[in-house]
Amino acid sequence: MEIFNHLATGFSVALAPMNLILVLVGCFVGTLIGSLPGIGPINGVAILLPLAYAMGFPPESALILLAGVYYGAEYGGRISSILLNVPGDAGAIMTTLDGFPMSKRGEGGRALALSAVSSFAGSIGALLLMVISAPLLSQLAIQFGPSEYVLLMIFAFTCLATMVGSRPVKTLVGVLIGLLLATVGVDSGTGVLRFTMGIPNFFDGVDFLVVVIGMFAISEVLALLEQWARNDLSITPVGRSFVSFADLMKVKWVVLRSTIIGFLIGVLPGTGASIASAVAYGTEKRFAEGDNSQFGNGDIRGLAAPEAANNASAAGSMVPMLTLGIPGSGTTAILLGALMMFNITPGPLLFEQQPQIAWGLIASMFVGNLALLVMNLPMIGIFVRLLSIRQAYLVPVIVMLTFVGIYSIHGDSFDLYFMVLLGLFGFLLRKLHFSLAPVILGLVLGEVLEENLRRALSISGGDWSILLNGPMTYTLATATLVALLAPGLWRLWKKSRRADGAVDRKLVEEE
Amino acid sequence: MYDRIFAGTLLLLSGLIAWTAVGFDVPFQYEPLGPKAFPVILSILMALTAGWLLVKPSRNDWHPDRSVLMKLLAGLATMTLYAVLFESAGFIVATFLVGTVFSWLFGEKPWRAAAYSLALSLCGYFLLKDLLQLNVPAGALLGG
Amino acid sequence: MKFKFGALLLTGGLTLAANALAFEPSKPECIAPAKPGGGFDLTCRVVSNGFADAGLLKTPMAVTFMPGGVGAVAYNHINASRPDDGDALIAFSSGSLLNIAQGKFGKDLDESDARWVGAAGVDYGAVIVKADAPWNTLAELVADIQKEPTKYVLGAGGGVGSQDWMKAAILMKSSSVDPKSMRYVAYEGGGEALAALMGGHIQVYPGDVGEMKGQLEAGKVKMLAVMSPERLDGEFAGIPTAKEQGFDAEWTILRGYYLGPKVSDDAYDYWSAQFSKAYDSPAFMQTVADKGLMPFKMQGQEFDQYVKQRVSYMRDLAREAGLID
Repeated sequence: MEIFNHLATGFSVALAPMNLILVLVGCFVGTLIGSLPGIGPINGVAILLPLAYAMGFPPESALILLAGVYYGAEYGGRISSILLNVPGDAGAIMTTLDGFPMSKRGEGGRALALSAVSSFAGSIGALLLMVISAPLLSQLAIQFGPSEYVLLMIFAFTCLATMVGSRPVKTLVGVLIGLLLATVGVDSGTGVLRFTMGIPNFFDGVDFLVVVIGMFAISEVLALLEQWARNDLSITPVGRSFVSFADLMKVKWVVLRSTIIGFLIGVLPGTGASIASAVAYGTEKRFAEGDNSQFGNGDIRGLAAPEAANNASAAGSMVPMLTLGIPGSGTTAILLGALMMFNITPGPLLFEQQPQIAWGLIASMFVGNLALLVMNLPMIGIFVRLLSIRQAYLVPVIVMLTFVGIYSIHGDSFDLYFMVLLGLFGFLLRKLHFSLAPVILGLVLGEVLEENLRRALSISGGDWSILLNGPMTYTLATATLVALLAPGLWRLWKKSRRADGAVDRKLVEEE
Repeated sequence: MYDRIFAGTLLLLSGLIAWTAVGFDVPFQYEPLGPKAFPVILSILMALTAGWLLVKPSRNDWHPDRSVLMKLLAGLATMTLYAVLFESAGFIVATFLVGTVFSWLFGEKPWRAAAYSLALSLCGYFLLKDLLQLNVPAGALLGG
Repeated sequence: MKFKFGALLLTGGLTLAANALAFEPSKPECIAPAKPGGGFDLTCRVVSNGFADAGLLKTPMAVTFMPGGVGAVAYNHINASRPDDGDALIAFSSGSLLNIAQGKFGKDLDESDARWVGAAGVDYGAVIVKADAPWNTLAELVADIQKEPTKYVLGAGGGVGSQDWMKAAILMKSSSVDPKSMRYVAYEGGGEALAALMGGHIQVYPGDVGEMKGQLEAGKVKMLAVMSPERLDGEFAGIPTAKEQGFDAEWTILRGYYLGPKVSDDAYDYWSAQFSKAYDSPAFMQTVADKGLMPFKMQGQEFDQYVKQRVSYMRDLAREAGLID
């Protein structure tokens, strides 16, 4: 098998002592950076990039270091999501939904361990998929045109329809707010400024991270203040809980499905960890219906799904970057920039001309993920201690980190004011029992949906039939219909089975 | 009650959004939708859902009393102050002041809150600026 | 404090009399008005790494990021908060100039609100199609488009009024097709547009020469024409210009730097002199080439004039296209 030869080449690069140290350093720094709210993989990679350049590492080593940071950040992002209800980065939003309730119950250790294992499984699964199918998938990914994106977004919305919240109408309002926020900025089709109120900071649209950190972190600070004022700031039980074998067995199919979903969505340019984890969560919620579902209240399946998916998508987004030279996400765009800085042009020839870089990187991801799992599990005890820090000491740190993180994106105070405003808004939404995740997802999905719908229509010259133009669109449309109708059919089927069972028993009794 | 106020605000907002969107002036466009269609459709949907919420609001279980409101306002004011001071006074001064207030708001004794925040701002500055190379404003104190 | 300041001014004045180049940046900085990894980042790396390699910097130059509106946020920030900061070079591209020309940098700001100081280099537009496309020359492509303007889809990394759209529109105009009648799709950046080209969703991509190096080598795409005034050197020497194929379609992508509008003449002259030294340094020019740019050596007043000329040319184009009144 040729693949094994390539992998052997890769591992000989990745296991060279120097590179091994770099991948470990990268993973460690990444976990650290990812765990700080507002400071995500983009910052991490951007920080280390000039450093790697200045230190004069060979390109494969530099890339291994940076990929380690990227991966580490995906692991680190979940820590504050689970323990503090503050997502460390965009891909970790869905993790708050079930992770935080678990840690509130005193199962912080179990949640962290389970998410580490799910992340690991998601990454390794996605890497295997990548090794087997990268060239084929990259061809499929470019076949994915505007119509396919539109249908994928519609599918994502149907997955989310029943996702969270006390009342469907409130979920809908949340999604609409997010969708409207997505329209702010320069319209990509016509260059017209929409809803910018003449403020240049809005020209590129509302920054996603500012919204996430404002609505989650700042509103959490306000919520903590309220609880303190009401004197019901219960000290979260720390507990010595850990993940059990039974837990792992319960989520194995969840993780497998979410890995595949996450990987595939990651491969598509323009869709990343946040969409992947949302779709995985929505799908698993559907699967869990009627099966003692505790989604939203600390269901381990609701934690495993987004965690496996966001890590799988991180691996997936490497596929178009390495094989086609097309970045699939913001972070891979930076990795691409890093490659260019070393005079390497990623693209179709990378695997042929510089196999030590391409395969060394892939092999280092296996090594890095193993290292992250080994590094993370023993550290859970330390992370959980975070919960026993008094609010008087913890809150100033959260506020400080969010402000630094947001300021460092644009270097402009404007974002800080906007973040505080969004924090107030998020707090009010929470008090009125709106869920915040739909707002964020509306913001992410809305842009992709609108842009691609309009792209499709400008390709067809206004003919709407372009939306159903090939096998992939049919598949997606069918999947959407299934997602819409499945719960109803499932209930019907169960009812009829129960009825049958009742009849059976009756017969038995009569005999 | 709060639901009704919120829904009413959304209703007004959706009207404003639709009105603004209709006014977008496009030189020309290559597709039938253009920049107007999406916001207009969304604002109509928003108006419908807001109307629904106005007619059938959820029961409200949030009853902030005076002390809670004061705390919240204090928190908001402090964070706004942080935003004001962050660039002008620099990270260390701003973090020291704001950290002290927050620590105090959560029940720490003033001098201990101040001591903690001083340590936090100094450590934070060097960790974030020098170790993580983040863009942290030094402010007038350090001549930046 | 006051006294010290006065003394400083005095000494400043004295040295000024003695030596016109008294300015020395204490904390040199390059502001890239985009997120890390993009074109502006590369532009800043040209000056920060290139000046360092050429031995022109006493203190290393930091690169900071201020994304937003192809430079609009940085332009506004500099004008509002630090118009006289002589330490900060800000990267710009002809995309920024095009937006200034259309008044998209804010109502009150135009090209006179900055001191344009030096060029990093240039890149040129290119007409790119898939490797297995039926066309081998620009004329063949144009003939097909003229026959059925709506059959072939052009797509690039920006909407109406963006640099990429301008390239498409100029190309159409030069082949006497109304730019309004072409089929044009806007993507988010060149990468997405390139993916769409390879996926067959669009047929023509008016991209940039520099970014196509790897794809050309791999034989995935064909470059039918470069939109430069003359043929390029090196690996692109075999590709004819649009002009020599009979189409008056030129687009130069300029990358360079400006200083705040109220920066002292000392500081301006200092940076201008640094650029002129850099252009003579092989190390700097190597950095320029490494970042995928072609040499373009112009600095100081001459450059300032050149940029202002470009903006007014772009304003005419935009007016002609009906983008502004």
